[in-house]
Amino acid sequence: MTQLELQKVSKFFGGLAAISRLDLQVQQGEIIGLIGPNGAGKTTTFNVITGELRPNEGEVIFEGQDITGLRPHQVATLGIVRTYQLVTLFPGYTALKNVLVGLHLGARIGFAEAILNSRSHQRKELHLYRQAQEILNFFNLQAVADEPAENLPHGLQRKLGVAIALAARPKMLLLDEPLTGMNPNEVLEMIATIRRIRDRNGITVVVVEHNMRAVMALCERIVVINFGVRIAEGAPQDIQANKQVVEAYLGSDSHAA
Amino acid sequence: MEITELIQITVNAISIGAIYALLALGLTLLFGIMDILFFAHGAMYMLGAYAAYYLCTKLGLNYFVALPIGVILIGLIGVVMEKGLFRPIRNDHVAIIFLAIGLNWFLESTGFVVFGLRPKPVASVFTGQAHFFGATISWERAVVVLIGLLAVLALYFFLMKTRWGLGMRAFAEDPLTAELQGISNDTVCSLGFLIGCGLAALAGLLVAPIFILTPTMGSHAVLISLLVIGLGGLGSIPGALISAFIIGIIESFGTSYLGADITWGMIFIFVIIFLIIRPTGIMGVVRE
Amino acid sequence: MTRVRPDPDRQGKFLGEMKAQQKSRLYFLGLFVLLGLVPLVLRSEYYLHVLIAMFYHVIYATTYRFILRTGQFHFGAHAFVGIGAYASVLLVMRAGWSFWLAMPAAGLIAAFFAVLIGYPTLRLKGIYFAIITWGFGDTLRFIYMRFKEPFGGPLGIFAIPGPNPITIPGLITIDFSQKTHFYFLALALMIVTLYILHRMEQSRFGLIFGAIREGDRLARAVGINIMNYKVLAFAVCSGLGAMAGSFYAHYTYYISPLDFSVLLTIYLAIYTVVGGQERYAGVIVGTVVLMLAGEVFAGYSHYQLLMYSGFLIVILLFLPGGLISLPGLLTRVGSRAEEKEGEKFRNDPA
Ligand SMILES: Nc1ncnc2c1ncn2[C@@H]1O[C@H](COP(=O)(O)OP(=O)(O)O)[C@@H](O)[C@H]1O
Ligand SMILES: [Mg+2]
Repeated sequence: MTQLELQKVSKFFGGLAAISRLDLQVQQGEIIGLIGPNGAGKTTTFNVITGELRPNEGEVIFEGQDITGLRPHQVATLGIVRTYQLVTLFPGYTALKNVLVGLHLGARIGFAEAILNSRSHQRKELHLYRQAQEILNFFNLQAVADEPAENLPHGLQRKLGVAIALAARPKMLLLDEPLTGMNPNEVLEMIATIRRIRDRNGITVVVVEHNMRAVMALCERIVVINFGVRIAEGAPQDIQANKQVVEAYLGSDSHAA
Repeated sequence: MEITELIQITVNAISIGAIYALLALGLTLLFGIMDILFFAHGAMYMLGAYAAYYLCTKLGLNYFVALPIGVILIGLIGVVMEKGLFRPIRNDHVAIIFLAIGLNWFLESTGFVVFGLRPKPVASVFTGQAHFFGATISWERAVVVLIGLLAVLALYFFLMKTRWGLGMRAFAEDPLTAELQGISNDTVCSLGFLIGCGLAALAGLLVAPIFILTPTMGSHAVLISLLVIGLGGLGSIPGALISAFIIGIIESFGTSYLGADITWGMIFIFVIIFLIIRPTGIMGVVRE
Repeated sequence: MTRVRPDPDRQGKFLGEMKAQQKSRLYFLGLFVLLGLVPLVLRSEYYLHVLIAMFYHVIYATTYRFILRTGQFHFGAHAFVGIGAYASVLLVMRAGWSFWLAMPAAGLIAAFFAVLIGYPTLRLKGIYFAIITWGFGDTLRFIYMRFKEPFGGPLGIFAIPGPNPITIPGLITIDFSQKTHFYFLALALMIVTLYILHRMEQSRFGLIFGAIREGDRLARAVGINIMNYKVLAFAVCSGLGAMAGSFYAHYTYYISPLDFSVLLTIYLAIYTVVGGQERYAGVIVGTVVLMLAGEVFAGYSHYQLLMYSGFLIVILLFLPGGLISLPGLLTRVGSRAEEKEGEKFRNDPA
């Protein structure tokens, strides 16, 4: 079933088309890779989906609903949650508090009860705390729960970033270069984690990533864009065999592989 | 009769607008280039007006000699403030605003202590009125319009044609690139304060013969300037000019037909509602 | 950078904070009782008055600081305090309401205005917000001055009645004929306000406000409606400030447009920065210290403002964390000296 669909979406910056009449379909429950050279328009595509940028033309359809032009928090409420290319977390907060913020959409705590700090409110807080710990356990971050996020090593920060996104109980996760700066072992661990996220919770995952080995290992389907235009789409082996892609991308950037 | 009345009101509008434009010019320049809302602008304006009093009335200097002396003196005070107070905390935006606020009211209350409460007179250099198309304008106001116009032109020329001006505009875009163009950020900031405070002082010196001098005149001027540059779009010099004249027109027509105080209330309400609907002002860009 | 020590006791930390929160109500009650004992010792009406003024200024300043902390450069605290004062006075004197109804109603009216102003403007960078809120305050001042009916014009409103008497049959009557009655009312208002602000900061709402400050894009991406939170803080704080404004009106029996000029907001900004805005105790310290120091210049407002703004400048340049950061700074300097001492010892060839 098609869960997310971009129909002829364009986004211009001044005269430059960051993405141009881009079509994209994401199936429910798949892990799909969105790849392309630097400046190809991958992050812009994410920004358009999550409502951070309003496209100049085209529509974004999520689960049958037109979400073009919705605001970011509304898109998140519908179930699309993203991470950012650069490390994104709340640096001064502990890992646990980072995840607690991520739990926002499921929190349902009213202003009055929070002020009065009633029994039932305390129970809710405790419940959220347990949920946060569960998520930290899932990412094997329980040992650093009370560490300020800014003190964590880079690899753990990246993981925490995904943990925050997962805490928001998304139907679809958009991960923007989640493996940047990780060592090979951390990469393997993250790949396994992303797989588990999909397998256990049925969450669709869209990954933008430059590490080609990882993309080939992780994704079931790959879409290649260049200069904001889709140039290829298919299973990993097809993409590897695609001449156009090799020229546009792999050829010029073969070290990455 | 009808037509001369219209011309008269328009002439008034221009003379009011010129003063407001002059008031707001330095403030919007500093904001546009350094992203500082320099509240102490009002105090510099007040100091400019008092400089006119001390130089002309007390020392008996010719008004046109006093004018450049006052502007340079207060411009230099601005440079000293930039080097001594603002530079150490340049990167802390919130602290800078608070510092400018503190300075404005520090200088204002110092003004009370030093200058006293009693309004100070500055003799008008020009008496009499000019006439054209049946409208009259007092010469002193005509001079303000003229010098104000010259100041705007000079500023424009400076920003557009000189190396320093280019450096300042480059700084506004991106401090790093500006540095690469061979003008250090420190120089740009000092220059910005020199010009910004000099323009505030110029406004003060020019209005000294027309307005009543009290230490609070600065804070009042800041509020008016904020309305002007808010309406025009923060940091935009053309915006400030346009909005100064819009406010001048409203004030001039309003005072003729409705009375002074209700007009000011209307201007407030107009600007606030305008800004609530379009917070970027007439020419501004949203910075969220 | 990369020091990660697994914390064996980590189950404790967050839960411990939660436990502490459950006790915090007791602390506020304790503070109320403690300050409630003051009138027994302090018989001077003058000192009571100073304390009462301090209490409602603490409300103004702490609510002001909370709005600042949401990242908005608020410059119109005087507007909302003024709305509170005028609204409650008019409700009491014109509509015949009881003070006890009019005060919360005034808070709600101010909160309503905050919502009205907040939604279109709070998304903007602080400076626009500063201009609009200042302008709003001065527009209101113009309206009070211009319309004698019902606002009393430039001279203001005289002979405002005090709060309606409360009688608990057979126990006591509080009729606000004595300073101590006002003292307890101001104290209660302050404690309640501080408790609300404390909970706003410590509860999940504080967690979210902090997250918005730490990274608003990420906060949005996990579904937080930033505007709603900012407006909420703005409205609640403005409403609380307005209730203090209502108290002010019925305590001093007289209000005029002059009471609600931008100078009020400037004072609050100075209290906040001088005390230290990082922590909410800082603002209280700033308010108390400066108001006490200001008493020296009572009646000479220029000298008072001169001292306050001079203080502000010095603090900004030399103690950016405010007075509240002083103890921490001193102990740190102390321990650094000790360290040096130790080093000398170690390097000793003996
Ligand atoms: N906010 C922006 N303003 C102007 N140009 C932008 C902006 N964001 C992206 N671009 C431009 O759009 C193009 C695509 O960028 P991006 O989507 O970030 O690429 P990718 O993520 O694939 O590396 C680039 O040329 C970039 O310079
Ligand atoms: Mg990118």
